Amino acid sequence: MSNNTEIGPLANPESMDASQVGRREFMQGFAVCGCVAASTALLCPSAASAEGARTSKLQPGDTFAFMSGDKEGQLVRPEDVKVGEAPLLVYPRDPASEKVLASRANLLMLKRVDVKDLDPSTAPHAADGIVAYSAVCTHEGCPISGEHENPRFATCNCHGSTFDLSNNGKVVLGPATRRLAMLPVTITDGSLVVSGKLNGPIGPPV
Amino acid sequence: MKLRLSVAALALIAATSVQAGDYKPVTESRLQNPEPENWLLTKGNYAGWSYSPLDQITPANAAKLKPVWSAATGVTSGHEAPAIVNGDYMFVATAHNNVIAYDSKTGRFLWRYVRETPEGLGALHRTNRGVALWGDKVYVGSIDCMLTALDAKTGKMIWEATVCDWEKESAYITSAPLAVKGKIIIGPSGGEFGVRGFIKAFDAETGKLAWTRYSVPAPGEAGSETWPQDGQWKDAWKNGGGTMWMPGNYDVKNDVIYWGVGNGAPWLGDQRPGDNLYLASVVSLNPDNGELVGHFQYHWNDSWDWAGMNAPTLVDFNKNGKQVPGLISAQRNGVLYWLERDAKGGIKFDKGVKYVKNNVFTSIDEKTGRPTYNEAHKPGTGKTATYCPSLWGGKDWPYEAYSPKTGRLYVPFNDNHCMTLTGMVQPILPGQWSAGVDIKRLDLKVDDNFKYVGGLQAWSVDERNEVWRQIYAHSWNFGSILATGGGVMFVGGTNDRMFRAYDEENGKLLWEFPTPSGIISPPSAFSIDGKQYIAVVSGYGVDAQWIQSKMHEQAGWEKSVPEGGSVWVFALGD
Repeated sequence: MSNNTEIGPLANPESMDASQVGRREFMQGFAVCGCVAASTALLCPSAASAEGARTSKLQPGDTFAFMSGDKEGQLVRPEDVKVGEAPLLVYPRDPASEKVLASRANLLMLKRVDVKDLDPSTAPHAADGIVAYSAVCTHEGCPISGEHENPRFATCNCHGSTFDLSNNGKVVLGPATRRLAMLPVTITDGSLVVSGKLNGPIGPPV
Repeated sequence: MKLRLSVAALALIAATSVQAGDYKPVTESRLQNPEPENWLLTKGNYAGWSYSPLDQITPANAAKLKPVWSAATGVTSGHEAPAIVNGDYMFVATAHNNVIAYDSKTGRFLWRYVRETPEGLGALHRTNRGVALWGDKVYVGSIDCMLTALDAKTGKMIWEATVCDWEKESAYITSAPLAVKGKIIIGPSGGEFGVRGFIKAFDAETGKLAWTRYSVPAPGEAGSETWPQDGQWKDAWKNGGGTMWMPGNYDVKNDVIYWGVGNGAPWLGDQRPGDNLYLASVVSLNPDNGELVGHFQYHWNDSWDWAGMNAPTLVDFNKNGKQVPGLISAQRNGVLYWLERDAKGGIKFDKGVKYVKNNVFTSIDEKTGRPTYNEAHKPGTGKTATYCPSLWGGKDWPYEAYSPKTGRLYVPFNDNHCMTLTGMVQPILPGQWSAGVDIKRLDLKVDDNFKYVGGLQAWSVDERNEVWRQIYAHSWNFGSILATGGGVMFVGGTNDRMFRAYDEENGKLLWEFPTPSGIISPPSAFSIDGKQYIAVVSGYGVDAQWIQSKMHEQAGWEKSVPEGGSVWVFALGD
């Protein structure tokens, strides 16, 4: 955990909102490089990936695993995501090692909506009506798991922020002010697969 | 070149000359007898009075109060920390893990400490309720469960210690720490996520853990018999709540600390049948080892989210013509309590009076203080019930104030609001709300044709009667009160962004000033070179803001109060 003490003019707290986990991992990776092969430090990041080590962040090609319930840790198949059901909380899963990348930052939700309801902004990133979003609420960071009477919507159980999952995660009811980050998915060889990057920041603005 | 060097040298000297002065270490003796010119503790003294003996500002001159300096914190979300002052140094903690130090007199920025918030962290309340001082260090809890010691003069981190686990156990810290006898004591929030409450004490110099005290006893420990022993709910204690999320008070003479214990988890008591010690209680502890030496439970089998997190205020009061050591407290359940305390930390009920409408308690036992319930107003699993006051209570976390000069307790209150809840069983998962109610059915309702919600009450501690009240027709009150030796009390807390001064004698409004946002932080007082200052942090947010949105729906109030923190310091103008 890094910290910052500023002497002098006020810092812009927004500047602290970088992806902290990613940066920490990068720093750790860099430190290892420094010890093992200082002279080839610049090559280290690619060397690390060549060894097959991957970060704990989600990446294209990942599949999904149930976060909880009877199937906790098991692979999510497209047919597990059903129309009219509450958002399904999942973690990314490394298809190579089958390791579940469980962390609060990695928490995602899947929901199947009516294909006809999909906004043009969202339709290309959905797979047979299945949409995927960061489940970290952009208000205070609680997991979004609540159903809503409108089947397009999902509600955060902490303060009631509600998001339109058919339309790029747009806020339809506050207190959240920032939309949810959407994750492109496809169905490949019968599996639900991450096909891109989250299209926005996760969690609350700081 | 020579000239340029001289200018540079002069600039350096100028910069050095405006540095804040020496930092006077905060000792046990200073905290036990805090000098009037400083505000070293969250509530001003160990007794929790929120009172400053400074008496320069009086009802006769309060109208002359003017801003002396102000500073934007650069942070949004609720600002709930008081300005803590030690000589030239003022420390303000904010949401998002910032601590800012200013020159108390001029407002000049000294340093800012920022602890990064981990990605993915969730918290029901992103706020911070202040720093603690000990020696030459400043201590702050962070939303991501760390306790950090900072160098008071530079803001550099000296040590950090892990208090709780946000990632898996969903705890988070909003509380100010309390410094007692070289230990820094703090506990996390998280009662809505199934956290079993506790406080931990750390060595002020090293950060080494000294002791842990859980609020819910484990099987076999005293009090565990009040929790389910078998059946469906036998493990309820493990996630039973009772978080200790507000700083406690300390009886210096008898060396006993008093700490408040929060609501039950989940909220529905029928998922943990029994009295559930020590939920919704005050506990008294030995500060050396955390040993529990006494307790009083305000209400058994909490089912209303009526947390008892605010430690009662230590006062002496009249009992049958004799002054006795006691505790007084306006609790969230809507009852104002008088409790006796003994030298060993024993707590005994003396009297309880409803200070707002409570439709649940049909009676309060005169000897024990134990209430009886109207079960129709007790929500349960699959059972809908309406109860008053709503979960935010007659008074939520904001501090009451006691003036030894007037002998009165000043209470920020909210009345005429009720809640309808239907209980359900919710799984406990990392970060996930599991209070046992659907957030979309968190039905807060103000009475039809309500005349007011928020307000202030003044109670005579000895006479045990209400002396005066102020009511707010168009706002809740989320403001802590500061009483002063000049007979003027200060409070914000309303949605109109005002900071106000009232005559402690009769409640008359003496002065008001609109700040950029609403005020939910406790005011504090200090003096420099013989001049009295009043400090307060403006910055609306968290629950007060959420309620504002509900009031918009129900009563057409403004939808929200502008957010954004700023520190304000006032003094008498010429």
